[in-house]
Amino acid sequence: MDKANEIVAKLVQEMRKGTLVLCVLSQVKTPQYGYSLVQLLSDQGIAVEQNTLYPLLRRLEKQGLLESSWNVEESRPRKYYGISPLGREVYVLLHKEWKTISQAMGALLDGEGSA
Amino acid sequence: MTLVDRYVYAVGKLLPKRNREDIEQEITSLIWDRVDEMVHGGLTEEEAIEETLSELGRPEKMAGEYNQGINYLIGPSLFHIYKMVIGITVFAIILGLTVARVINTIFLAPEEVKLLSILFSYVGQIFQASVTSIGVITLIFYGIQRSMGDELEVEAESTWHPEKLPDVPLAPARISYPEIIANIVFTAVALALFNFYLGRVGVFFDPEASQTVFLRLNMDVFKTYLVYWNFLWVTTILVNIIVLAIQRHPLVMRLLEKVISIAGIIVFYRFVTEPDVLLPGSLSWAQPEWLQYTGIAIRVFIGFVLVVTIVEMIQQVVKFTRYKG
Repeated sequence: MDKANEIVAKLVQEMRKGTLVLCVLSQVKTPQYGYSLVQLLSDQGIAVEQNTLYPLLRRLEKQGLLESSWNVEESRPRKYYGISPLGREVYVLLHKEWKTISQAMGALLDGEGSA
Repeated sequence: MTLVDRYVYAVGKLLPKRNREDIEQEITSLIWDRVDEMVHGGLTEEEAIEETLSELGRPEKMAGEYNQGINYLIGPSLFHIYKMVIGITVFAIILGLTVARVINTIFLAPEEVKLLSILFSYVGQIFQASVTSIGVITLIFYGIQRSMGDELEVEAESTWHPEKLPDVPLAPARISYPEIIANIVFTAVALALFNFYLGRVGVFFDPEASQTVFLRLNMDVFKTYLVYWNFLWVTTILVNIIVLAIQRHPLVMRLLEKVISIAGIIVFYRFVTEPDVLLPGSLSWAQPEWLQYTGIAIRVFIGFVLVVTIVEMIQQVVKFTRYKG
């Protein structure tokens, strides 16, 4: 059982990584800084590893899906990330894909005993 | 200097310079956000820092996430060529040095042959030459990767089409790289040896003199035959290079190699049976019956090699016919 749990933990981690971009894009309509995003996602049941999320934000920015700016007016300087016009476009398409996959997976898993 | 500074420094030094400062500043800010929350939850600052840094994990892992996509020396589009070049080079080094060492040892006077020291220096030479070559090849490939790695990836993706996949060669036509490289190296060594170190050809042991001496070949006769051998050796090298280039070892090439071998055997037989192959008096020290036995042994040996070669030819034809059938 320990081995099964170990394997499941790794697979779940992979699955979460795969959905992380969609999760992030859905939450940055209002600009967020890294840690606030971790909390936002965590509050909605999405546990994120910080060492995965922070570098991901920079990669999305490099791809042009996010825009960033430093806010120096708070107690400490923070880098805020918000969705870009391209990011919005990608998010809409990705969301649609997610729904298709989700429906297909639902059908697939519900009918798993029929084969 | 706090643990946070040390952590940020450890991550930063693994990052590319152009983004380093920005990422360091961001990580620092994120760490303190998390620490603040933990302190608010009841931990001391020290505990909170330790806990936060443990959550973030090893600096190498953290930096690795930031470096994704650029943290390799040689990319996937070059790696298989790199591995092949390394393999061929190391193989050629081992083969070349082995042949050179054997030839060298043969020509040493018996009292100079110290096997253990020869073995140590041989292993040392192979190690040194291999490490140097691997280093140089790696540097060259690293240079290619850095200068045009991305273009190569894009080029490989955009020009690839399933129709470009090579046919799977029939099992007997599959190429054996060690065999081909060995053929090329040995043949090249023979070419060099017979053309440039002719004086060292014809080694023979004279029990009376208790040392290695050289048969005194009649160079005029030898040079007449050398023309034929050179032709056969160059053809062998060309055939093997063609096999390497087309990445398969078809029946026609295998038969051609055997025909070359048979031609080589015939030329050799004609050569050793030439009446004036040795200078007069070269074998005056040998017993006449030795010479008689040696002559018989050479004929039997040549006959045996000829038969084996012909059997191998037939085997090849049968193998290919069976696979095609």
